[in-house]
Amino acid sequence: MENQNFLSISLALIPFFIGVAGVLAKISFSNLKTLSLGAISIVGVFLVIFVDINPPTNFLACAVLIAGFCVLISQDRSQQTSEFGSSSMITLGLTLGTLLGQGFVGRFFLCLFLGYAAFSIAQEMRRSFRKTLTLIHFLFAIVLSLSSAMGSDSVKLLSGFFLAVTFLPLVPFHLPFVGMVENAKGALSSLWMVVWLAIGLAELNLIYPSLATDSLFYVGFLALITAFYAAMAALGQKKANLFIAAATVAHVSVIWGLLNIFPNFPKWGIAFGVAVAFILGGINLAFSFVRMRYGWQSIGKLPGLATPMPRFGTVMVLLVGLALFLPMVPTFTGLSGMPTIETVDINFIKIFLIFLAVWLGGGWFFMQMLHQTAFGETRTDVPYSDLRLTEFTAVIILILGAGYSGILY
Amino acid sequence: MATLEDTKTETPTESQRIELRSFVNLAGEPVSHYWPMKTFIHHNPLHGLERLHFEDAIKEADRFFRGTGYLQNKENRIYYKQGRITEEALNGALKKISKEATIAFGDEEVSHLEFLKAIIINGTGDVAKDIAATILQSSPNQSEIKGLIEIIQGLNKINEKKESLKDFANRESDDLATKYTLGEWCDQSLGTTVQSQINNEVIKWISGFLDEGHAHWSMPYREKTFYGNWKELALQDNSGSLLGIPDWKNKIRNLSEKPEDAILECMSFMSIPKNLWIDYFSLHLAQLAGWTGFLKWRSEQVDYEWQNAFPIDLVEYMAVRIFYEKELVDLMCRAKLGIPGSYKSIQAYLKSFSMGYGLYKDFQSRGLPEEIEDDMDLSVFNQEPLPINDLNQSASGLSSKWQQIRSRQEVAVQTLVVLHIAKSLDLRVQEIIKSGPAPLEILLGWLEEFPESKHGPVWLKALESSFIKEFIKKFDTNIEKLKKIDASEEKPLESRPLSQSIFCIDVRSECFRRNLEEIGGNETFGFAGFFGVPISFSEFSSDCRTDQCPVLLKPNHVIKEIPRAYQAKAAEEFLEGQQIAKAGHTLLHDLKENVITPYIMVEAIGWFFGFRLFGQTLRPKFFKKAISWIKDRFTIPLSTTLTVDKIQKEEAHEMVASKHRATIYRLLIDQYGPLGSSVSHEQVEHLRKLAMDKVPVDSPEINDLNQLLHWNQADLEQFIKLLRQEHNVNERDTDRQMQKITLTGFTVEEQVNYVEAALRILGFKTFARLILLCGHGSTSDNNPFESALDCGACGGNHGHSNSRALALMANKPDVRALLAEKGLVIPSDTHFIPGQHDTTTDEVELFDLENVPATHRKDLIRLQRDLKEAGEKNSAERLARMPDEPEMIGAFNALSRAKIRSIDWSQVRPEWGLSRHTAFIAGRRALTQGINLEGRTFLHSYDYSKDPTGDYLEIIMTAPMIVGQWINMEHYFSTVDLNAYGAGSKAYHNVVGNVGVMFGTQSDLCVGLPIQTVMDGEKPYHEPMRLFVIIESPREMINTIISRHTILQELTRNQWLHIVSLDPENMDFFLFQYPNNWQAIKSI
Repeated sequence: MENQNFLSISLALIPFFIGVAGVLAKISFSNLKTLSLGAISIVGVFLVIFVDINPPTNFLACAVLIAGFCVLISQDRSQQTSEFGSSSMITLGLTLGTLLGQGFVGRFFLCLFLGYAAFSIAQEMRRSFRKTLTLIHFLFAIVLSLSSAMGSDSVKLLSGFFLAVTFLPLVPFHLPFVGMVENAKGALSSLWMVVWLAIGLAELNLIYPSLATDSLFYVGFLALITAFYAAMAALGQKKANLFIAAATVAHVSVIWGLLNIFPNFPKWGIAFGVAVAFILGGINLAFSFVRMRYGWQSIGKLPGLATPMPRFGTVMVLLVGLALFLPMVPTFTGLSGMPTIETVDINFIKIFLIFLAVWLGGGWFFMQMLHQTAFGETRTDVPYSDLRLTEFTAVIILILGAGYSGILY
Repeated sequence: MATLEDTKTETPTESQRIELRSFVNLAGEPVSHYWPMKTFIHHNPLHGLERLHFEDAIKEADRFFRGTGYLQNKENRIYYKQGRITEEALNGALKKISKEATIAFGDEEVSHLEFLKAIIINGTGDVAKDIAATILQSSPNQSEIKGLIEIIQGLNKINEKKESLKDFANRESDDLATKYTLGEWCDQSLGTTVQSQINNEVIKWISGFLDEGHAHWSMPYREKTFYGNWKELALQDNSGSLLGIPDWKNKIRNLSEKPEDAILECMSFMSIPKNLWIDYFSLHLAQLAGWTGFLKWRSEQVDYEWQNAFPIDLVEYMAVRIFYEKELVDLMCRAKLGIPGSYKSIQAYLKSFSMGYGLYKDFQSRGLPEEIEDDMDLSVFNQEPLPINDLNQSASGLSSKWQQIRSRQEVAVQTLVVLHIAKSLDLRVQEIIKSGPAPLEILLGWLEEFPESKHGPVWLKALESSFIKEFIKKFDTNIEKLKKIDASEEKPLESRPLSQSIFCIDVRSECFRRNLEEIGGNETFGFAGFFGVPISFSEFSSDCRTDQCPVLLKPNHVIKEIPRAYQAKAAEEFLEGQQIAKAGHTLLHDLKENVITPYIMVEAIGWFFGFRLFGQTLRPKFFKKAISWIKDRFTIPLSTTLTVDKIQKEEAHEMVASKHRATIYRLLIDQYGPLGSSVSHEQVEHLRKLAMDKVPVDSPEINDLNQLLHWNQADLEQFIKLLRQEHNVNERDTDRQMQKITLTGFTVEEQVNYVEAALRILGFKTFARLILLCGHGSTSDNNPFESALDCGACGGNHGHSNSRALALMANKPDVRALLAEKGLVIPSDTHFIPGQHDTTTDEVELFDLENVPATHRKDLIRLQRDLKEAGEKNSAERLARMPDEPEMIGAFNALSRAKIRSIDWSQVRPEWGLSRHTAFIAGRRALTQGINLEGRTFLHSYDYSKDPTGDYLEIIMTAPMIVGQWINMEHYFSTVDLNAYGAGSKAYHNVVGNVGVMFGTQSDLCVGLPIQTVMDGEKPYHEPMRLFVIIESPREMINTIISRHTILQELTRNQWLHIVSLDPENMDFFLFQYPNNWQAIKSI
């Protein structure tokens, strides 16, 4: 067992050290990319073959590696800086450490992860009240993650719950997530989304058996509020990253809402969470390619991209198509594991309303976004260039990953 | 005298109304006429602007119609890469605008011409400001870029061009009511939909009003004119209230009765300055240029039955339109800005809050820079009314930051442009940096003078020049032959050809003629498809007449199709059968369209329509055959002829008298039985004359009649009254009948003139035993644009009636005798036979075969065989150009494939029509014979040696050539801008009111040609260039003709077409340049 723990931590440290080496030794992005992709592949192989950990954690770790792989492979060697590569690898390493580390080691990695995220936010985010709130939230999270390793069971549960609603964001605990998605540079934003949700799913998986039915009832109400709030926010949001953040929060609320409807969270919840992370992360990644080319930030400012950028159009149609079916995923996987007892009570009404907000809202805001990016009248004053094959492949991998997670897993 | 602007309180005077009418009519000039599509007339959509130079007209049209006048630069670049535009031609076109100047960047020198060429081929590299910085960041060689940016930042040109927030308001202040209406301004600035609301309302009313029998329930009150009808119905319609117009019904009720007064009232309310009115009205009329084009045409038709029944004109249309605008603009301005919706208040607003408005407009149009957005609460932009005072204050604070950001963006754009130009000219960036700001300043100045929007005319000239130079090379061999013939070194064959065929000048006839000639023994000619005989044709059993001539002419002669004398009985049966069919059709139509009956009908006979649905979809050819077979079983074969002879006045008089006498006999027999039939012919004639007031009442014949029928004076008077009132035996009816009869046909002299003109223009030397006069038409299914494929020279109709008329004239012995007296001897064994070429199926149908002498049986069989073979070859040639036809290898039945296209109701492109045409050639056939002109050339036969006075050439240049120019311009503009001047895709078309097509349920009438006619997928199929008219004639003669006609002067001066002379003196091609210069084509 100890050997397994050591192996897991060693695997997490590989990308971490590559990232740190990238920063310290100023390795060129080209070399760093080659090294990183190789490392991710090796870690992935080891994870699947040699590491014996529980399947949900393994699945989440693999999802994180896939996201990292996609983000790195999509970057052009001549256009990206080593800072980007280092940052990706450090994030990846810290996430793997958090997911794979047992007990205190895992919490230690989580603290580092939160510290690194807070550091990024402090650097990138403009000074505002929201920034202060976000940083205070981070501070709380760091303290609670440490106390969860050392405190009593009730403290562990409380701090675990706080971390879960931070990483699987529910209103009003969504600020760090939104801050990270908004402020991360380029494709890193997509990586942050996946790792953030993966940690959240792992946290929820940890505390899920201890959550009482009563508390889940109230969490359901919070999920309902989150669903409506996030769906409305996504509808009114023009900034691409914030739109994705809001859409993600809306979908995450489904997980929380379904907790006291369907049993066996690891079966349906993790599959759905990873599918959400991949789809929304995929959209974010595709947007980052456009942003990198044209500095595009606001939805609606660069319409009609499907004509001059057919690859982009294709992936966007696929991603939105899948996104529209996302709420089906937990429903069917959840139902398949549901005991045949009557549960027609207020929970069903609650989840019905959550679905209404997320599905109908999603149908609306995703289609609106699609019409404002892929379709519409193409601007003639922009020198368009379609996605490169590697960029296209990266998004397709995420789409396939989402399909696997949502349908097959 | 009261001015138009003082109408707020006073009732306008008649002179004010007259002035307003003239303003509106003047404003309608840029809008081109639109003919109802049942007789589709190819026309120049910018016909109203032909008084301007081609390039100026395009700019003006852009202002009114928002249309593009040139092919996109990227398409031209493709032509350049393909070699369709040659380098030589491009250099030539650029030379005309280039300067003798160079710039030095280190050792490298760049001439102005090189610069122009580089940017026209590679583009200017101009990009949007909001993305320039990002593109620049991702460019390699950042150090060079930094250096370049530093220089560009210091350029005077950049500092002069600095944007200010006030620019938005200043620009809009100048453009308001000159470039756009107040409604358009609201839409652009306030994000409203005033224009579409007005358009939707106007389309709703006008499409109902202009309906010509298409609607199942027609609009009521149409006899009250459009304005009156709208006033009446708008009171019962709540759509105005639903649009938010307060007190809708009272406003309608209080509107003036006269449309002029209503317009004056609205213009006064909106306070549009009077000097802008004409332009302002033009902007309004151009909004729905299809509908206004149609009603402009209709309002000018004095004898158009629909117009006479339901009058409408531009003033009435404007009154309704401007009323909606006044109300909606006011509504929006009050809601969004808190000001009244008038020109003055908007101008004052723009002036007072220029900074705040600039910020708002920048946010609305391209989005504020992110640095600015982050400093602002963006929700202020969505508040109603706009907190402009707050915005003005914010803008003052942000102005310098905004300016800095925009300036930085401009520098980034210019840097990218310079990098792009450096790459195009193969210049090193380092050299540019080293050379300092001076040359760069000049370079950017040159660029400013020649932006991408100015490349279109240069590309067009280059394309035209490339085309004509290449095109004339095709004639080299034939010109050599002609030279020898003209120098009498070589004698042309003078043996009688097996047949001679006269086809229309249409480009589709060119291929057919070539294929027919290649079979051997057949000589062909080209002549305008109406064969120079302008007639109004009335088909047998049809109620309406068609004008069979170009729309430039007005026919004075009526030709009727009548059954041949020996078929009187069959004709009666035919008419009876047709009446039954018509009644059945009406019944079916009523059952289908009734509110209740369709429910039962669908159950009862709905399945019956399934045959058609599946048959026509799955096996169109078989279905068509089956239907034809069934129809043949029921149709009575009828042979007809045409009434080409004018009836003499005496004979006509006798015809009317005879009809009246028959009426009197019938009445007498009806009233008195056998006693009535015993009335003598003299007495009947006397009764007739009595009814006509031509004889006194107390004549001996009348006394005898009174005795015979036991009449007293009162009985006689009663009978005469009955004859006059009930049976139309009166002077008025006689005049009417006489007029009808004498309008019909031509006198012998007229017939001689028409035949002579045709044969002489064509330059006939010998006459074959059979001469085919071949008109043309097309056949297609489910195609509202069918008449666009018919003969343009026949007013968008089939051309067989004209060919039949001319053939009948030319075959008459008395006509030939008179022609012989004029020196035009047609051999007695020459027979003219009329026919029609179906341009979709390539079948030629021959008419009046009963008239062919028995001696010509073998000639006829041979001709029919040759026509079939030519049709087969022509179809194969045409099908190869169809993108949806599989590649035909080996022997295949091309006629059959072409036939399927004509009967397939899902076929959006039954044929290419006149697409890809480029030139109009008037000359001897020897000039073009044997050359494959790919169906892209109008061919008019003309022999200058037989026309010393130029009379025949004058006819060609003032009629067929003008029609050719209209066709050309319609194709040109439909290709360069499918939405503004074309008709979009056929797939979405919806026939409206039997007058045209529109998209969906509410759109403008589509004025031009559909995408399927001019485009091959994404690429233009038609190469848009101005028509080249190549005339084999001395240049002086062409000069003289042009100088005689204003229309020709206008077209040539303003370069709407190009005239090229093939001068017989030296057999060289020369391009006409107004006023009377000729430039050798080789040197252009």
